[in-house]
Amino acid sequence: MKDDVTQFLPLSPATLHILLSLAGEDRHGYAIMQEVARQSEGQYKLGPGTLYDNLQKLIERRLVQELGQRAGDDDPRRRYYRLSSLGRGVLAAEIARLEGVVREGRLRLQAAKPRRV
Amino acid sequence: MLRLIYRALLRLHPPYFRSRFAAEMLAIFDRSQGALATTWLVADAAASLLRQWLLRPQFWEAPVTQPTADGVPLFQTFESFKPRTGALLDGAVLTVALFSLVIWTMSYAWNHPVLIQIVSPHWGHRHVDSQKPATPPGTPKAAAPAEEPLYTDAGRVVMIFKRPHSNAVSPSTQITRQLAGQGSSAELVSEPSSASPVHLEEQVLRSYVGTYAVGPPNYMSMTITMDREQLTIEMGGQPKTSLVPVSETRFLLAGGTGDWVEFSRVEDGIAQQVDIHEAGSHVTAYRR
Repeated sequence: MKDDVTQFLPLSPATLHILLSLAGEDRHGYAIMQEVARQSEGQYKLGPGTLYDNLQKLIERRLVQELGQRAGDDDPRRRYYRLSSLGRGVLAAEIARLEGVVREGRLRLQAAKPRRV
Repeated sequence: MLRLIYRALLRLHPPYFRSRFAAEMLAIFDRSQGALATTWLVADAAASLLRQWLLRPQFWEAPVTQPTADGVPLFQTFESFKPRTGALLDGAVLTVALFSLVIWTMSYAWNHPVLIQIVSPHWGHRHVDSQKPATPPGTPKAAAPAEEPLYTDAGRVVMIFKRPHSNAVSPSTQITRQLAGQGSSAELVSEPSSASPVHLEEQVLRSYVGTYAVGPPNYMSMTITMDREQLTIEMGGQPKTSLVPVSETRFLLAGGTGDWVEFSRVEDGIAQQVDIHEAGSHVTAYRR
């Protein structure tokens, strides 16, 4: 399992945000775009072209599952997507990698601060 | 209007991508508000179009599924043999670079095609009739050049390759020709020795003035002119070169290259033929 997930690392920013948005619940495309904008506080905007290009690759790599339409939805054109178990493992590995980067960065920056006499 | 453009851009996407995501993308466009937002979506669709056609060839068509015996579809597990786009681009760049290198090196090869002189073959029997030498059409038989023809042996033609000589004045050189099927025979053509210039009468010089042409395969013409009792030669688009007489019929080309010409076959006081010896090669031109 470890070998399966490390081959996908590091994740591109778009892929990371898409997997993060699907980590909590199943979403359709427009909802993914809104969740990504909310997570990044408006700093990162995903266009539909970029979104579905990445979804296409994630589905092909089996990180995301395509669920299709949902009964009772107000827009029949919507299709929902779910994070697969492999995708969840890849996301966890990426977060662990980023945590290591953040930890290392804080140590280095702390060491560079001048000491008060 | 923007919605029409957006729909047109979606229709231009690859079929598989279009069938899966075009409806959702159009739904997102319908939810957007404001000219700025819709314009941004149109630009995003244009970028997506380029990305899908240029960088995603593996998604142009749907994967083929084959049903099993009981009708349950099986997904194909064959690995795609299509090369990466980056590999194709690298290959194209390498091909262009190698091709350019080969062309560049060919232009500096010693046996460049321009330097190869191929004598026109005169088809005939092995035992040549010496009374009928090969001459160009229209040439009077009495003044035919004493040049032995090349013969073929079972359809083969002998070609003569000669290395180019340097422009410095060289000592007397020899040009040897070996005729096919006749054993080794040599014809020596030597440069005029370092002779002193001579003075020729104007009438003699005027008999050489005119335009001469070299027959196939060279198809070159040259012009002999006279200016103040000085003959000049102009040929092959090169600048005029003065001719220094070393005998009544032989002239050296000025410049110290060692090249020389010799006029012959004077009819009615006019020379009909000139032999040019240049850079170790020899061609014959006839008055036009």
